[in-house]
Amino acid sequence: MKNSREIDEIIERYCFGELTPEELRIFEQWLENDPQLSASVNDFLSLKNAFENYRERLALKKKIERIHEEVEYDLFNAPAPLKVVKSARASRVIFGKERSYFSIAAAISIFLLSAVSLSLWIFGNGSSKNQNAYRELRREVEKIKKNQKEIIKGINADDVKGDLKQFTGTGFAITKNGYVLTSYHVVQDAKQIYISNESVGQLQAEVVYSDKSLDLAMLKVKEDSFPGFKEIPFALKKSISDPGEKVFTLGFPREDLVFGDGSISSYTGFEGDTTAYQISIPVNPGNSGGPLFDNQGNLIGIISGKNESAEGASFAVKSKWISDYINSRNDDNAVLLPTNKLLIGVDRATQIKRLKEVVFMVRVFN
Amino acid sequence: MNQVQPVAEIQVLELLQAGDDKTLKLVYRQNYQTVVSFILNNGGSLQEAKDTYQETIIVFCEKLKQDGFELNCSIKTFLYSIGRRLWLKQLKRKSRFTTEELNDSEDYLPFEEDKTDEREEQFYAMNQALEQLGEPCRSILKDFYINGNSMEEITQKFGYTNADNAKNQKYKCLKRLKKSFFEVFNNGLVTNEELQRD
Repeated sequence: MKNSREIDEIIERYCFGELTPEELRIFEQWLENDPQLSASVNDFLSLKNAFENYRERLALKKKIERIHEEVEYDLFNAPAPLKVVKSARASRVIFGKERSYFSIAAAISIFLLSAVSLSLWIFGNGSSKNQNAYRELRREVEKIKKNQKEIIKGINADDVKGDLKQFTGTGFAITKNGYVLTSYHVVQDAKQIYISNESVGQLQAEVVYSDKSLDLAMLKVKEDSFPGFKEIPFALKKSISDPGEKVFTLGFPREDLVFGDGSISSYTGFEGDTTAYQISIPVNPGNSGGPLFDNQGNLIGIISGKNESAEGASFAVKSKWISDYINSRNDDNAVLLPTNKLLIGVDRATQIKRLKEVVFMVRVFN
Repeated sequence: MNQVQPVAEIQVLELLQAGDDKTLKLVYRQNYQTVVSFILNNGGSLQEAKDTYQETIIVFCEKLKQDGFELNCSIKTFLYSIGRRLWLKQLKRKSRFTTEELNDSEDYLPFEEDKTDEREEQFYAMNQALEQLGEPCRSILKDFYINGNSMEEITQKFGYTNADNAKNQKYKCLKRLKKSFFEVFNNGLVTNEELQRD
């Protein structure tokens, strides 16, 4: 009598067609007389089948994962439109803490953007040489688009407008334990929010509180096993900076972190808005919500938008208002404003090296 | 460069059946949002939505290969229906789904139980069983039954002193796998009836 391991081995060899003719003859006879054996054979056959199916699906899965990676950029990276202020009528002035808002066109202008921001994106600041390069690129893009449209037409006439809209912007950590600051208009109407960069990977976040008029939103990482960010290297500067001061920002106008620098041009933002600075950093859609630092690496603002009709005029909400706002919402002292001075007296490259750990791309699904 | 012609859905299907990856990519991209937003709107996370969408495409590819496959609706509706059904099953497995109505954005086809369902269940059960197994069993069985490595290679790779030891180990592993595979496969089936009860 054979032991169960030997029996199993014979069943396996039988199912793989590996028995010698002599063994096969004996095995088949045995099969006829032993219903238990034939049940075992059937079990093995379905297991074998499942292995094959598993192998095929795994291969298909790999292929589809590859396809996903190839189209991911198109699927996820419509940059969040910058808030572009346009008409002379949109204005707000704040005297001390008493605010009055006359915002008429601002809300509308957010939605006017896809066309505007595309042309800004393409023709934005750059030498004439660059413009030519961009023009060529643009034509290519259009050609490809046209070709694709033709195919798409065949597949689905009105499929182009999906139900899910995706935007990207920038955000940065303000505490080690997961609080992240960004612009209100980046996360407006968000169903799901993800922050990502090289060091943290991708983390889900949610809005804790936000203020439309200041264009600020506080997010918090919403992951069970979130280990915390690296030490926040900068301090939030509460005093006002002066025009002429050199400033820089980090942001995600595209998939990778992009550095931009310039200086403060004015104490006030658009149409005398006292909550913001005008700065001379060229910014693009996707830069919204990015931190603005001075030469010493102190946080002095947060990028909010740009002036459509004046080239190189961007705006940033002043850090003073950020700190006032956070303090006004900070009943439980959950957010301690950062006061570290790890960036003072080090060169720009080192500053950026430390800062890039705490600056994120913010992906929003509406 | 190839001139791109407008392609009718029927041609898209033919291209897909011929295994044209470019077309698959296009279809993947075109329908991503419809299916993913359905899942996001019905209690799924982005990761779950993405996984389910990819499974949807897998099922679609498998259905395309079946003999006598015929599509009587748009690819979009078809994919939406598959994705919807897969997500329903997923909710059943997590038993998060009570009596809430699903939030639909598209028309969908009610599906009959068919061969792809069995394959889905098989895959799910195999995946579960392999995961429960732990190492080195999982790798040994994967190497032998899925990657097609020989017993000699496995003996070497896992440092067994001789082929018989390796065989004995494989035998024990397979026995355990078999047990948990059939457990999941026979109990974990979500039947059509259950899906339609809601």
